[in-house]
Amino acid sequence: MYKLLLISRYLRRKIAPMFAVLAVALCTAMVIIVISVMGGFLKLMTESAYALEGDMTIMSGLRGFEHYDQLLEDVRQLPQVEAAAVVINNYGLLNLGNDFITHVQIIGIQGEQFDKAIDYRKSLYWTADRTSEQHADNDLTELGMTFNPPASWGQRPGMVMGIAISPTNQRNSKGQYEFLNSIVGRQIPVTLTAMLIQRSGTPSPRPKQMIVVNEFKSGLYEVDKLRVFVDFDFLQKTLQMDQFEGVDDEGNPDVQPARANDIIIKARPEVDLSQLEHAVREVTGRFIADHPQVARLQALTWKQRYATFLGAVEKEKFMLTILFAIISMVAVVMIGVVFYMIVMEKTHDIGVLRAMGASRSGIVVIFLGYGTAVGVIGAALGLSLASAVVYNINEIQDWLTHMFGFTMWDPKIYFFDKIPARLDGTEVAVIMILAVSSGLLGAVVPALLAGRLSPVEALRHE
Amino acid sequence: MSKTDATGQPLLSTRDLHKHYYLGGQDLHILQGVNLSVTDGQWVAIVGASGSGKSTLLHLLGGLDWPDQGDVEFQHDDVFKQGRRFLDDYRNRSVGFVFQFYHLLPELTAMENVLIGAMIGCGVLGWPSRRSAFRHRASQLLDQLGLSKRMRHKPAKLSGGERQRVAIARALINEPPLLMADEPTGNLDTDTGRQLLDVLGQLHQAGQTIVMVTHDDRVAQIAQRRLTLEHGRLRQ
Repeated sequence: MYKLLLISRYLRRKIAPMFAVLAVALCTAMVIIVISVMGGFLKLMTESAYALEGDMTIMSGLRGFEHYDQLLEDVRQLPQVEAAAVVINNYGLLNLGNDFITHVQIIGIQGEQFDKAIDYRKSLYWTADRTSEQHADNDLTELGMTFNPPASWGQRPGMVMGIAISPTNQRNSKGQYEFLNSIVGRQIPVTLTAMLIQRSGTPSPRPKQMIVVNEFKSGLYEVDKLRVFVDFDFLQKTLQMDQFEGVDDEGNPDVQPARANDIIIKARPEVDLSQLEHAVREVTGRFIADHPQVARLQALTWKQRYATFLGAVEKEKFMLTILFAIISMVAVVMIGVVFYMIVMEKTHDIGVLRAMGASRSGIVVIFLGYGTAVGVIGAALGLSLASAVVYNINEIQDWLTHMFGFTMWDPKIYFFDKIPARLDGTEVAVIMILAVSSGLLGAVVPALLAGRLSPVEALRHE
Repeated sequence: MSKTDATGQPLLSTRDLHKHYYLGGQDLHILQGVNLSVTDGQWVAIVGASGSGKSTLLHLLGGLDWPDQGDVEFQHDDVFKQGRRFLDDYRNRSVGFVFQFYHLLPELTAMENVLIGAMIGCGVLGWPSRRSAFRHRASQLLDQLGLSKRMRHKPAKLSGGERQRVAIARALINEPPLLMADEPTGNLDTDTGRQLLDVLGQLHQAGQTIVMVTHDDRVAQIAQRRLTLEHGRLRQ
């Protein structure tokens, strides 16, 4: 009982341990903030990648593969699969006029099917809430799903563009988009040139006049400035990937089945990714065995597709955590120094306690308990500080920008328009345990020294 | 101060106690075969010049330091041959110390300083059930020593005499058979010193065994028995 009494009194009376508490608090806060920001970044990247790609994709080359409808049906029959959609993947150029030409990834989709696989509808930016008066008569979301512009917009096929492609869409300092003159529904010549890939692999440009019916915002800047969606059938015809019925050079009937590039698959919520992977790979393997002439297919999970990028971010997070953990050893050393000073200062008290019958282990426990209390208080303060920073990190940045013109996370540059930060319960718990342990660890050597003091030496200490 | 009358039974004894110190490359043979017997209820004063080894002897008697040779027996137990736990228990329950410089813990109030020895003795599990009894005893002791209004004061707010009286109350909280006082008046003015000796006198009257070391002959004369430590040996 006397140990608790003394620990509580020492904590209240001494300034020196407050420095140790501060060191633990700052180190704890530093590590939690770093992990939270990096973790938030990684989580957002992961979610965005997942949202864009579905759980799995069966991929072929740019030429596409035949009998895709059969494979699509086989995949849909799998009990692990909730939805699957076929897409055409192509690359080309987009001319928005005024010499603004940019390279784009062109994806041909069947709106409803695609939406079931990756929540495409949610990514469409121009909803009823955001639509300006000039488009009040048109449901732009629906146009983005069907790619069928109203007759008043002309006879050109519809296209949905990434929100960062048009130069008239600018991100402000807060990362929000400002639309100087939205391109949606504008009667300006927009030319999309897709690349027909011939058997030899030679590309052949296929320019088409288009009209923008909506824009999409995935949250990933790199995707939003590169990708356009068009109607599946339109792109299939344009790239001559639809079924061909004719005659060959020798006059014999020649039927070439329709082709598509990828099948995007969404798993049922209760299904584990590895279960899905196993089932899809089995179906794909059977399909390849039945159609040996079909182009090479690859079935990859979204994690496998983004492994390089996500792996790099994960490694970066790990490295930073290790670095800051090493820096945090400073707290341990500081606690050690502070406690050594306290033991020196309290030598008389130690002598008195030993004279009154306190055991060596009792003295050690006092200082270990004291160190643990410093760790607990420091960790709690550190968590409070880190929570305050993490939950208000964007407001803090706004304030820094306002006060000093310094922008730590420029939304014009980064993938996301806000600093992604989130506290992970498990990570926080581990850091808290380590912080408390650092207090205990720092106090070990001084506590053992205190325990070894003989009562007479301690009482005579000047 | 509710001790029974002195019984005259042997309480503490030493046999051929030796203690060396090595200081500045020199072997100082401080105690050279001290033999002492203290009976229950006695007030023994040990006098000697500064550096004669009085405090060293008291530390050995109280189990604060280890002799190089010889034994210390308390109620027929050799205190240095029973292990560390016994020695801790001996210091807690059998001996009460009063030091020249009081050695109160500055973070604790007078009451807490008195109670801390009881807390050490009871342990975490024993304390809750005995807490109120010990608080009552501590209040009584402080009251009897004229400190009833100073119980919640910290040592920094107390005078030298008051601090020494708190130290006496602290030494007596576990009702030890033996009270050891190391120059108890050495840091007090004459009047306060006399008052403190009166307190010790009252304790002795109540049956408390006291071993006191002092360099002051006038203080020693108040004790029942006076011994002189000279050249490392005790003489009457």
